Amino acid sequence: MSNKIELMINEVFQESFEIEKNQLKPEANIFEDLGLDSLDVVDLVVALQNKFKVEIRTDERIKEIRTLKDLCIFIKELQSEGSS
Amino acid sequence: MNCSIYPDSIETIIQNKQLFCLEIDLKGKCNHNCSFCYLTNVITPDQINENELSFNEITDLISQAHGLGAKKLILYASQSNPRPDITKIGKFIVEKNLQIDCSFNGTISTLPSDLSNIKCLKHKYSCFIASDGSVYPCAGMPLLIGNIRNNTLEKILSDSEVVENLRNHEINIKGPCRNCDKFSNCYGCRGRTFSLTGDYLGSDPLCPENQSKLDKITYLPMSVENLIPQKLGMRVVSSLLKVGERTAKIESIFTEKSPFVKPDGSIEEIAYMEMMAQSAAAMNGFEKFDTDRPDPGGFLIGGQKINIYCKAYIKERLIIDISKQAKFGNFGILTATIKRNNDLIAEGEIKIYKNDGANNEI
Repeated sequence: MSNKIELMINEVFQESFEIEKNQLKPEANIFEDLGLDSLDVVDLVVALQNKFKVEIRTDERIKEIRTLKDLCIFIKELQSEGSS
Repeated sequence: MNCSIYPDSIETIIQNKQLFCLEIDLKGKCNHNCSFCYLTNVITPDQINENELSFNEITDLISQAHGLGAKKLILYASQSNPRPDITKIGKFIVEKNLQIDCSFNGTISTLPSDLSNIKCLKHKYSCFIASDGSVYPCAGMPLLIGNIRNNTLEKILSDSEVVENLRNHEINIKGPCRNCDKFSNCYGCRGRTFSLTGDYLGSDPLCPENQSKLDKITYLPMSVENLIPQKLGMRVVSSLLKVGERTAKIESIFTEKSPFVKPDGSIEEIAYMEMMAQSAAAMNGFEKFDTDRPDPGGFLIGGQKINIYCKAYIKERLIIDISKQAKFGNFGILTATIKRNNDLIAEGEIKIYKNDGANNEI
């Protein structure tokens, strides 16, 4: 399950931000390593909402995310909340 | 406020964004179209049989409401032709130790005396579920905020801007209601206000307190003139028609005097993104309009996925539907479509910066 989430998150970064596949490692910092800025995060929120069919627009946890691994854990949490 | 007969005070429930009460439409196969029925505002009789919630969906919903703190359920049922499982549903509710108030064929029940002071503020602790799972702020307000088949009740209520705005009524209600002596405990009938003014945050035109101030009440559609900073000429939208859950509908009619019109009477392509941006500004301006809240404005950062499918011309009535998609800090993304009748003229996504300080809204 988390492998699938990881793959889908990587697709978002490749499709929406044109980031090379070899940069997409779980420990990669989305700001320092992948080069996103606060202006990009809102695009990331939209892309994740569309990809995973989840609502994250009001979720404060997005502000705490630093790495791709953090993002994967966050999406997993969201999905389990949605199905509970 | 002290509601001593219940373990939690209503105020605690409101502060914790929980529910005190849930209203559920269980009208089942009722095909009456009674003129007095409260629910015909939301669901027309021919829709009632379609997609009705199953027993399991209803019990799951009740469990969710119970988990959110609900103490009371108001069931709207058909007396002449009730759902066959209505007794089982009632038993489930009793087992959950919840209070039931049953309303037959849309006759509205009276609330217990402890709630009478704040019955006008019911959206702070209550919501209404239609027979197909659609969630509304109340049975009298046909303003869809979600569906329990797509999301949990908790998620729908916490994500809903409409619910959030109603829960913070002190800063959001427009017009004479906000200057009324009773404003801290009453914001009029929101369903009636929405039906009559198009604005769920407007002032109640039928409240006796407002009868001498009717000219101060805002109605939709309204001109965007006082909602956006652009002056005639640079203004490319005309009227705000409707507002909904993070959505708005705006009208635009170009005249030959507009600098965005080409010699053949068609609209310059650059105007479409500007129409989207000004629509976002009009939606934002209306939220603050007549509320004593400052509107520090914002600006368009850019657009993406803007597709223009065909030309539009002067004097044509163009309708822009705009929808907030996401926000982060002061940045927001909205999607928009521009249509002429049913023809899609253009669509796209715009990114805006909202100069909103601590609120960080889009």
